[in-house]
Amino acid sequence: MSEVILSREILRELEEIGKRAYPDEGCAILLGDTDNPGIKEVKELKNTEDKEFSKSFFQVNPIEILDIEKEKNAVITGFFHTHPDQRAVLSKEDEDYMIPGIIYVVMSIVKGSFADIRAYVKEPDCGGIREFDI
Amino acid sequence: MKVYISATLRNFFGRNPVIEISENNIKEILDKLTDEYPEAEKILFDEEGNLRKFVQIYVGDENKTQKEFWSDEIKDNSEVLLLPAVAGGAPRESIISDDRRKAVFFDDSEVERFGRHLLLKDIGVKGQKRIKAARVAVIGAGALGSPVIQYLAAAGVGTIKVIDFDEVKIENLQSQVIHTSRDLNRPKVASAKDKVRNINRNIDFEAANVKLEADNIVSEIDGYDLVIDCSDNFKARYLINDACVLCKIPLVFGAIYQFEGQVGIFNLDGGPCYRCQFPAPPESGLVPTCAEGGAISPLPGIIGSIQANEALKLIIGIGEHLDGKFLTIDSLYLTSKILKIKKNHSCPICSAGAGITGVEDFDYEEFCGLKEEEQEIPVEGYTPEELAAKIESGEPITIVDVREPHERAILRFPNAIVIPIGQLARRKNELNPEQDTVFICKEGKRSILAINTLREAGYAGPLYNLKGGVDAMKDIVFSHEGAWL
Repeated sequence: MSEVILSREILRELEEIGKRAYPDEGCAILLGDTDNPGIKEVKELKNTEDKEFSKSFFQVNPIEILDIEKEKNAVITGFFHTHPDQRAVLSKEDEDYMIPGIIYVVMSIVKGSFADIRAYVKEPDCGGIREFDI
Repeated sequence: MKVYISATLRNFFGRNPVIEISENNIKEILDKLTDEYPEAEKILFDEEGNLRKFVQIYVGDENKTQKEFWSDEIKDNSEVLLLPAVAGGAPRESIISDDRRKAVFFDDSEVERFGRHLLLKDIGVKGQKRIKAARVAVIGAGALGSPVIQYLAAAGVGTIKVIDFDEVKIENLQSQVIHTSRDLNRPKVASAKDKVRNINRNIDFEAANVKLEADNIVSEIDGYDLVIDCSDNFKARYLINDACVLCKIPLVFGAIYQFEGQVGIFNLDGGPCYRCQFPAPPESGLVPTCAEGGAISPLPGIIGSIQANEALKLIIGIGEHLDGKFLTIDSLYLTSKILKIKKNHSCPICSAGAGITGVEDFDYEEFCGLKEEEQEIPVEGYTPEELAAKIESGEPITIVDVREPHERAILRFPNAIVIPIGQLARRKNELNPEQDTVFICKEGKRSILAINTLREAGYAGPLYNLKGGVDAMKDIVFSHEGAWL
């Protein structure tokens, strides 16, 4: 697999999350199901980063992820976050926090509007990072 | 005790959501887990054995990820949770802040002058303002400095500081295209200043006609957004790298030798530094300097232009660049490759527990093997006049030339036998231990290495170095053949 398929509806949801969070970073968890590991559902996550830094950073309470895991019993396909007024490329910080095999979708929101979206996956051995087509 | 594995990490633990473990502290639990699931070890821990950033360990609802909690006893009825750390940050767009960019304005002539940049979507007004706001220090106004300084000036970098202690010599004109015949014997920084003024009088050009040492480098580069290393020796490279790390200034590195060149970006946002990739310089004398080894004229133009391009990309905040990478180019066979550079977590200058905290405390002369008096075995030598007198008197001596073939082609040393340093130990029987053997090279440094090599190989005959090398011999006039060159 070297591509990520996003339905128009999912893309719209992600865009809405990014616009709502602007000028801060928005974030979400991307869920699939056991029959189809593609992205079937998006659930917005709370950016718990201090207000002072939330324009350029995000972090999520891991207990929130745990609750979603247990409640939804869904397959976690990936995570999504936005880069307000920045390119949709991974920062060093993003790379460090990537779990191998999980899809990371990054959206660039420029002046409050969608600008670019890209997807990345870290190799299973924690080696390089590949960009996937969307 | 139950260990819950997050769905995001489960693939590395046989897809098990819960694993029963009898151990009762985090350290032992992690050891047990990685024993049972060996593939998980590489996922959980990095090469230095530190827990990777994307893993968090909770006991109940308490975060126990820090190592200090790993030996604490955990109650039997507790649940240990291996959870993902979901976090990240936006890439820094440019090394020039938005506030500084916004403080810049253009007049009509600047709009006209930089029109070709303004047309580019990735540069535009925003990028050009960043270029004008930038303060860049270029170290070295020689071969690499020539294209770097001129392209930065042409692109409109607002402040360019050039640091060089040298004067323009005739042999510089082959590759140092910022200088001309009219600049001979002038300080290079003065010559560079004139050229920059001819390109754009609005550029704030700062000339520093000083030799960089440990006691002045920090004051010379502090406060600049970027340093571009266009120096030509290892001592300067380590000094510049270390000062950039301590001053938190990104560094665009460049180097050339014969037909090959290298470019890299170091110390960008805490990324790897030059020492991470090259912890120590090669042994003194082993690698000829650019002045000894030579370089084809356009090579510094190629490498310096790439340095200037990388600098502008960092300033504007666009494109992919060589942060954590090292580009090597072979201009003879037109091949190139990019090597990845990892941060060395035990780097003496840029790691968390770095031993070097100030450049003044580090002996760069010794580190780069430049202290001749500290050689393990002192090497005796002849001055050019003493050697000339021995040759004139017909005294039986063996002269061994350890220079490269291209160096010998420029200036042959009469009656010398040629033995490369690498073959000395094997060919020591070709020398007569009953008579004096004098080693020669271009500057009298590689010949010291040759003598030490031969001594280590057990050669017992008398060995002498030609002090100052063939360069110092140029002015000697032999009675039978006139001037040497």
